[in-house]
Amino acid sequence: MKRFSSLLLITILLGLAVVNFGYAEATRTVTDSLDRQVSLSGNPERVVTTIPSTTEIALDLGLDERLVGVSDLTKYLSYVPKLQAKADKTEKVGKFKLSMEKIAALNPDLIIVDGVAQKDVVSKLEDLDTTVYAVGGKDIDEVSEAILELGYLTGTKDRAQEIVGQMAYKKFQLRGAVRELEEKKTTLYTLSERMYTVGENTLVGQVLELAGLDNVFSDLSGYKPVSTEKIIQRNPELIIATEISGLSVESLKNEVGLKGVKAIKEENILLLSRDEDSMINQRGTKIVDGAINLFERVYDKEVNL
Amino acid sequence: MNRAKPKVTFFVLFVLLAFALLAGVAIGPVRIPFGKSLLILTNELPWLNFSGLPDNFQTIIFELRLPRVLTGLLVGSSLALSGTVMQGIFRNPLATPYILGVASGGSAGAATVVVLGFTSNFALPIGALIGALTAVTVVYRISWSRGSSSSYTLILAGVALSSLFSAVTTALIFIAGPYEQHRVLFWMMGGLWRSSWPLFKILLPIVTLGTGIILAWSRDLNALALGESAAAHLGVRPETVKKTLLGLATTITAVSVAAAGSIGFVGLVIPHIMRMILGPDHRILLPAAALGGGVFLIYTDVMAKTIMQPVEMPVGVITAFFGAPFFLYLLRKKIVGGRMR
Repeated sequence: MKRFSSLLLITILLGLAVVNFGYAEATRTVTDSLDRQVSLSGNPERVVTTIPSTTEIALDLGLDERLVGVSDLTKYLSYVPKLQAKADKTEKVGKFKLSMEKIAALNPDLIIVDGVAQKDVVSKLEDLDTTVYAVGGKDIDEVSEAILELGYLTGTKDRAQEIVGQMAYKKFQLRGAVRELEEKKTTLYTLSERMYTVGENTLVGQVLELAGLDNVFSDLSGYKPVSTEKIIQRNPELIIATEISGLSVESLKNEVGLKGVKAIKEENILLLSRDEDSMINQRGTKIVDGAINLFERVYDKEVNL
Repeated sequence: MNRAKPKVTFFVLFVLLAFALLAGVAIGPVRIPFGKSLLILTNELPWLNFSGLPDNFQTIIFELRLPRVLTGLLVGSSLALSGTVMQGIFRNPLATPYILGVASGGSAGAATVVVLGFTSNFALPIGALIGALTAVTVVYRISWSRGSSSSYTLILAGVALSSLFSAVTTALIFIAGPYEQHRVLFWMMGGLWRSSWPLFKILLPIVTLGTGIILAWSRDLNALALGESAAAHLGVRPETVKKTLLGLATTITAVSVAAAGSIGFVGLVIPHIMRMILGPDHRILLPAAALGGGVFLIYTDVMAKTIMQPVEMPVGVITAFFGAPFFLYLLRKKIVGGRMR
């Protein structure tokens, strides 16, 4: 009996070792947002993120020590000062235009890019002979999926599940709060004086919907400039603008023809700070928090978390 | 002579203008029944008063469409008139209102204002105006250093300065953030969406005065078109004519650019179309071009507003899209008919 149990123990230990060994060295493959097969053998040791949103994901996954390069635009991470501080101390690889030389010099084994804004540089980065993963997605589910895949790819599966679980829980609670609203506010989200706005299939469009706001231009797709006439006709109750776009409450009130619009008449203008806007515009781990912030500011109610 | 009679042409142009003004007011992204638009328009007359017209229709027609259509008229006619003047003075069929650097100067001015972070409604037009006038002043200073100047010096200085200012604009776009890039690019595409009554009220006296004086000098432009020495023999002082007409043409172009960005094509093609129809006599050609440019820009702007609504197209795309084929058609017809001039 004793002999049998020690044999069993050895078998289990051996088995575990094999599994462990295999786990560490096996090639892991996922499909990123651009439908590319992305493979990595073993955990990446040198990670470069090329845009604030992917920096945020990498840091949130706990890749701090392995992060060797980030985008210069760290100010878009200021909504979590700790993230920005960490990113500020890391090597920079460029703003809107990435420096291929700097990235190559960092000798990364994994580069995490944005699949929408940086679609065009993916093949160029692949030429550096490293693995490139593109986070994309026009809704929160796709971003969650990307976080899980990155967790799997970088050996931080548990943390990824934790993050995505949190996001799902918060989203669920927010939906509950939205259901209790008597009426959703009709809303115009504008990005510039030319009345650039967002349609249904954009991340911001999804966030607006999640936050219980009724986007008056949800019939559009993507980012489009709309004519002032149409805004007058659709007569939104609320206008959401962003500080960094150069708009202000004053400039919106002076905008030609907007005087008659309900939101302007009743001074229902929500000017988002850069931090608030970053959260709802970046395909990172804080989108749901951004939506909750939007809901709480517009309806002056709290979401139970 | 197979040319159209001026009287008939002007009659047609005025009819087209009347329809253009009506179309500009009645047609837009929001469908307002034609009868209602007319009612709203006439409602402003003091002795009439209909009630029960929807408020938002009134805003759309009075605050948006009416100033826009009138601004379109002024901008279109300024561009076509300046184009005709430039082509006449330089005796060059490729001359445009922008040949002396007005457009690229305006773009650089607008870009500077955006990058510096000014956001008030008038910041962009003022920046553009300063940029445009700076560019033209530098071109004149360089070319007129010894009291007189050849057309070649002017054109070359204009081209060189245009590239310098374009480089400035490109550099500014490069260093700007995404929102600023957006604003600059939109401005550069040109369009009448910024039109408003205050802007129109600034534009109106400048354009009217400039146009009036240019039309009064049309006979001198005819003399100049014969060549500078021939003009001198006819008792016209070429330098004075050139300075006055170029100065006025660039001024009205500069204010148009400030109001609507650099809209292409109108200033190049409308003068040619009018010359093909009416011949080269500037006494007829200049007013016809002014009218034609205004009419053309109003119609193309109606298309820009409605073709993809609720999204608005940049009007410059439409002017080229419809203007170019029509121009090519006329060109072919004239060449086949053996009458290019």
